[in-house]
Amino acid sequence: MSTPLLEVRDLCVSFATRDGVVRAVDGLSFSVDAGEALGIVGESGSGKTVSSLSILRLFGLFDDVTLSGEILFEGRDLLRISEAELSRIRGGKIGMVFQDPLTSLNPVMPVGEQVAESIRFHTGATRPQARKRAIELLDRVGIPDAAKRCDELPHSFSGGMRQRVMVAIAIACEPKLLIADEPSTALDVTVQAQILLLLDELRRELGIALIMITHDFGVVAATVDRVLVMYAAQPMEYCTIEHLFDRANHPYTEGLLRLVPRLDHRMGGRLRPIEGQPPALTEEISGCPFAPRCGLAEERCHNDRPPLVRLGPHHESACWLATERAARLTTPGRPWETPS
Amino acid sequence: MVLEVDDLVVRFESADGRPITAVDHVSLRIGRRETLGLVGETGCGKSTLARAALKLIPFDEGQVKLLGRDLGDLGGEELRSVRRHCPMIFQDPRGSLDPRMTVGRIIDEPLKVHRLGDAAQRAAQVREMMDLVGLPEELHGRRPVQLSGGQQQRVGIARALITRPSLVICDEPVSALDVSIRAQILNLLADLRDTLDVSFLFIAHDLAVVRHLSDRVAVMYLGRIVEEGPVERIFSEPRHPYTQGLVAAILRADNQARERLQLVDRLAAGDLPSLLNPPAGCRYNSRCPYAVDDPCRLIPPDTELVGDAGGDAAGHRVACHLHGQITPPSSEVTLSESWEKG
Ligand SMILES: Nc1ncnc2c1ncn2[C@@H]1O[C@H](COP(=O)(O)OP(=O)(O)OP(=O)(O)O)[C@@H](O)[C@H]1O
Ligand SMILES: Nc1ncnc2c1ncn2[C@@H]1O[C@H](COP(=O)(O)OP(=O)(O)OP(=O)(O)O)[C@@H](O)[C@H]1O
Ligand SMILES: [Mg+2]
Ligand SMILES: [Mg+2]
Repeated sequence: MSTPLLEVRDLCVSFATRDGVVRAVDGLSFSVDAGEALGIVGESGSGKTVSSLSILRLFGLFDDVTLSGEILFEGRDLLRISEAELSRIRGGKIGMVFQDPLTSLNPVMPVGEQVAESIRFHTGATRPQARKRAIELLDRVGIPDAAKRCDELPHSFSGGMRQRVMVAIAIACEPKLLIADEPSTALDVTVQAQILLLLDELRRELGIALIMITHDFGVVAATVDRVLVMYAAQPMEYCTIEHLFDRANHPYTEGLLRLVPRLDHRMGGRLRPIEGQPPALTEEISGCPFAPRCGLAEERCHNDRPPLVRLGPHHESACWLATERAARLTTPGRPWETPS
Repeated sequence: MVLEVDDLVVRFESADGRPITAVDHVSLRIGRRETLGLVGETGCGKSTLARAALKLIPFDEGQVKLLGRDLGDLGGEELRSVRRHCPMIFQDPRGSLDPRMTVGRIIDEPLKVHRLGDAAQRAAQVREMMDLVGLPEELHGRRPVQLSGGQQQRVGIARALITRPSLVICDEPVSALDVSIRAQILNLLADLRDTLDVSFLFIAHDLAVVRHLSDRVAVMYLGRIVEEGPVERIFSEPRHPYTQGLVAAILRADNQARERLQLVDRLAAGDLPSLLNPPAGCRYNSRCPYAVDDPCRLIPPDTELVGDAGGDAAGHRVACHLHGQITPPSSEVTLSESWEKG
């Protein structure tokens, strides 16, 4: 077997804050091959963004971060290379689309210039070359009148247009890996489709691998090969996209899928969110973090952290009942379609 | 009426000094306890319309009446006191939160500014509101940068709801939330509507969410409202070709989503129009599959009522020259048929 493009092993990330240590990522492992697309879904605040920021060590100046584990990219551990080396990789071999498009763009620099700057830094292109390429890219991500609008500042772009600018910057240097954190949340359905198809095209044409973080199961379904489901800083389930919809194993995954909105009928009356609250990340979690909200939880679930149970070549579930549940769920069915 | 917008026009200037008409003669109304969903393409002017409706940005023409007060001649203290009843949840949660303040203080701020209650009462209200939007207690002392995207978004929601407002303008309020928290927030908004008669202007790209919450839906395209009507009419019998495309274009969470993406892309074919240089005549003509030279490329369509005046279709209006003549098979049907075949 060839080595994967990116391999994350037992990543743990914590922040020291005034009110204690926050474990934002706790024992995460996954890998991505060249040209492959991995989706990361899960609870808000479960560590999706922090894990991806860890790959590029992009933390705030005042964050007191502790990182452990390994992040192997093309065989090198990114956690152990120098800042200078990493800065060549950032925006070069690894591109990133950030979750908050406004705050990640420089408010006082024209958008075209921001794209061009990255091109110049990583490829050594001349100013006019970089500008020309920047306009092509802006056009490609669907900014109307790109040649004119590239001289405008980010604040005069709408939310969705800024998001497209972020995509242009991220793909400017034809990265090997593109990390997209909610790349299409502020986009209408048609532009969303265009961006997703663009990412898909880049993946096929240039063999770019993709990590797609999103809350939208429609996006997941349309773009990724495999999915990682996170809850309270921990991985819950890892499976292929087909398995996700046909035989989700973890009760948390199932709970999420049941809430995926469907357009064919009006979601009547009151919605039924998963009951209870996620655990505080400042406290030690001994058992399964989902146990307090899980209808199936047994005593061991509250006391011992479940192992990631391997259910197949591309299916793992961190649940004490995984094997049992897998046996019952082998007949394809769509859990979220059964009326609740 | 809680909000009345008449013939509103908002213009910006582009970098090279040319006018951009981001909101072009838009009229809408929102009644007490009513939710109006506002949908439309990226960059079509939804956020601009929302900001202008609160006079957070100046408008160039038209009239806005908020809670019965004409904002045109309102300023200073008076304007602030009207706005207190009409907070906004901003599209960019992080950018709209003061980075130096803690979560607790941000949510408390509106209460403090408007002198609602003493410190102890306010602290209790803040804690209750944090719980309602699903923000764990442990986040109380954190700063915005120490939160996840969805947590920031919920701080924005809590801040807007804490003063028990009359109208809340929500710009993509749930886009960064997982489906479970999203359901919790949507329930909360519905509760506020039912118990406190709150009205909402609800901007979102997620049509399932819009459908769930809205009484009526307005569809915007390049600065104009092209269709508006009762929510079920818009989803089951969209009349404007743009709305039809939009309704058809929903990504569904299933194993056929990839094929669907291709179909959606074909729907959005044609040149991306620009506000700098909007097409003459009907603005949708450059992408409309039905457009004919005369009149679509010559004359801007008027807004007309469709269907019966009363009943389910009350107030369903559309701005399309051909709305009576095109009887496209409901695009939703076309799509699902073609994927069943394929
Ligand atoms: N700089 C920081 N200091 C302290 N805690 C932090 C910091 N950044 C993030 N956290 C915490 O770490 C956890 C994980 O955050 P992360 O941003 O990775 O969540 P997420 O899964 O991306 O959520 P969302 O879907 O809402 O964006 C959250 O509970 C958050 O409050
Ligand atoms: N301050 C500004 N200066 C110049 N142009 C602006 C300014 N603010 C907005 N615009 C332009 O006005 C148009 C409408 O922007 P707006 O933010 O209202 O769009 P939107 O419908 O909210 O889009 P999205 O769904 O992407 O958030 C866009 O073309 C945008 O570039
Ligand atoms: Mg995030
Ligand atoms: Mg907007």
